[in-house]
Amino acid sequence: MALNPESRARFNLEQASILVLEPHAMGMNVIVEILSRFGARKFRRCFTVAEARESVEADHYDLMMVDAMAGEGVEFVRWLRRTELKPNAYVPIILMSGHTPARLVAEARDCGAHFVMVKPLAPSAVLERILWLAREGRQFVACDSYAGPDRRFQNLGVPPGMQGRRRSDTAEDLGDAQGPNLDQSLIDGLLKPTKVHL
Amino acid sequence: MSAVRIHTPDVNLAKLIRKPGGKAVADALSGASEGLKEMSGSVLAELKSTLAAAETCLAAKPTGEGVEELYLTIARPIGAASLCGLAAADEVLTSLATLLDAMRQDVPWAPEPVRLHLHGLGLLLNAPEDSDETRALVDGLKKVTKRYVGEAAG
Repeated sequence: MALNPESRARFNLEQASILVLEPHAMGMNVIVEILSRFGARKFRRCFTVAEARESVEADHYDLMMVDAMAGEGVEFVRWLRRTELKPNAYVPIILMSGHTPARLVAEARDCGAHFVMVKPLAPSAVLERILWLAREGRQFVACDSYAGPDRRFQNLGVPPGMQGRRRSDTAEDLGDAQGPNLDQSLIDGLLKPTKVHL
Repeated sequence: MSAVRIHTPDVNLAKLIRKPGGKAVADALSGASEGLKEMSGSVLAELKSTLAAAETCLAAKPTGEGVEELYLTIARPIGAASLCGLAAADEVLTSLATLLDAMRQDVPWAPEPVRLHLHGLGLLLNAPEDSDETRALVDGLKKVTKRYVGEAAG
């Protein structure tokens, strides 16, 4: 996911509606400053969860930056993911935290945010995550205990001794080959170097 | 086993971000760094008012909700100082937030370590240059927090 800070690749946030939930005025200014310098223009600044709830019920957003707010922000994300407010219920959310007590770490991880970022928010780290969120069409998972983006960054298969719950999960026991293996000459043919005229 | 629903929603951000125009990554990052540098004066002023608010709170001999308020006063501004070249101030705020968080849970209230942190923060805000003395001050305050929080855990 590393971002080359010298890259001339372009991205456009001018039309993106961004909700920022941050209770502290200075923290709000810092986030808005960073995103404005990235070219974003449409902000909804919310200082309380009540304001944020009202906003997501009234408008659509393309990205949310939510401060954990000692647990209140975490609860807001969990609530939003459980609502039927489409498309806001599926919007990319970055959860930010200045001071995260140990007991809140698991809650923050499991609330349904796409990323949890610890402050200070370095501009390059923020941009890296925004670009990642915009590039990937991540699956959403909803079950009794969790609603939010698929948290698997690697597909390592079903844990040994367990049964997969997805159609795409393969059985632990793959069984015998269903067709003949490629013979060596075919493999060599696939790898044979050929001249290319450019 | 609970029922699991899986689907892939449309990400509107993905469409918007590819629209023509916008900014180059390099320009966006240098612009953001510049913008944060320009904010350093106001961040410093804000941290000084945070310090004053925390000192007022401490002088009122807080209990219960007072400790909670003091914790929020200290924890909320964490992160801004580092972006404006005052990383040491952020470290002190984080150390104090850890201490106050423990005090609002199960560690007995003690004003002295809190006062020490606030005094240290005041010194850093008035002389924010990075130096050996600054490092020693920050490390010392972290040890204070570790001692109080660790004692309660042990």
